[in-house]
Amino acid sequence: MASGTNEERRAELVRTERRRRRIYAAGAFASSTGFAAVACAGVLALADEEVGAAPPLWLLGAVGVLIGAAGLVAAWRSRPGEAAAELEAGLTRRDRVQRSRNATFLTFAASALAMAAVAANSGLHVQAGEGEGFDHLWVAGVPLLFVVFPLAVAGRGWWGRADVRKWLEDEFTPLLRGRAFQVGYFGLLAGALALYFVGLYRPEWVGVVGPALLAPGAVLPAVWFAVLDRRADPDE
Amino acid sequence: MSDARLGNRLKEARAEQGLTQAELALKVKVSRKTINTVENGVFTPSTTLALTLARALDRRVEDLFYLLD
Repeated sequence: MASGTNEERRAELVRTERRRRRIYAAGAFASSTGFAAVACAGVLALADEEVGAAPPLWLLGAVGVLIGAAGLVAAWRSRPGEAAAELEAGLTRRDRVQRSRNATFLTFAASALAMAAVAANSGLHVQAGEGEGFDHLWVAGVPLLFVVFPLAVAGRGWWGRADVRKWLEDEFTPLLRGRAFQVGYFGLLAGALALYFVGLYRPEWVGVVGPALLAPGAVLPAVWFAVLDRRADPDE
Repeated sequence: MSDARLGNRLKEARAEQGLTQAELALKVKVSRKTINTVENGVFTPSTTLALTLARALDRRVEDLFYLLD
């Protein structure tokens, strides 16, 4: 049976690919951690030449180089190969476009949280009456998160080409969307509640912690949508 | 998302037709993921999709989906 053989082959590829991804992720993590340790050791050594000559910093640097190099080698050896290419070829265009949307959601969510952190810092300057042009710009940018993310998850604000957009809506997209908004709603409620108490007891903090408390609620639907979509198909 | 009372023979019917998940997905205009989740009972399809699947596999809906009790 041709289809049975295809299924067995696919199952084998999925197993191989999962193993490869695990090794790749571990390698990437090890190399990032190792080289971050080297950077820390370098910065500390530059900050104080005497401390820099002390064994612990050299040791940290040396261990960092070893771990970083080992991680890099592991990640390089487990880079996407034939199994990944074969699995990729078995996907429909709809699958690829939807996967790309999920990656965009996660990347934008991370950027939005970084933006909220910068906005919180700018809020501190604005509240102290020391705000400059960019501080006002960052603070004014926070409300954008509450427009962009809900629209993107609702499928109304997607800025891709029209012929690509038609691949984004799938049979269970509305179901995922409903669940994502449900989780986002509770996230936003939690943030708003926390902000209410901050306003009661530390009103001077509201402008500063506001973006940090509310932004997660704004981006949560997008993150949860991507998580649910990925979780729906453990083969991917 | 799923209904514990619903069983399906989608995988068997698809295999009999010699189709992969991706090929069936293209026929019924959904993603491969949707086909996979229906086959694994993770997702209960709408009436429209159930009828479309039945038509694509040249089966009756009752042959593809059944109540477990």
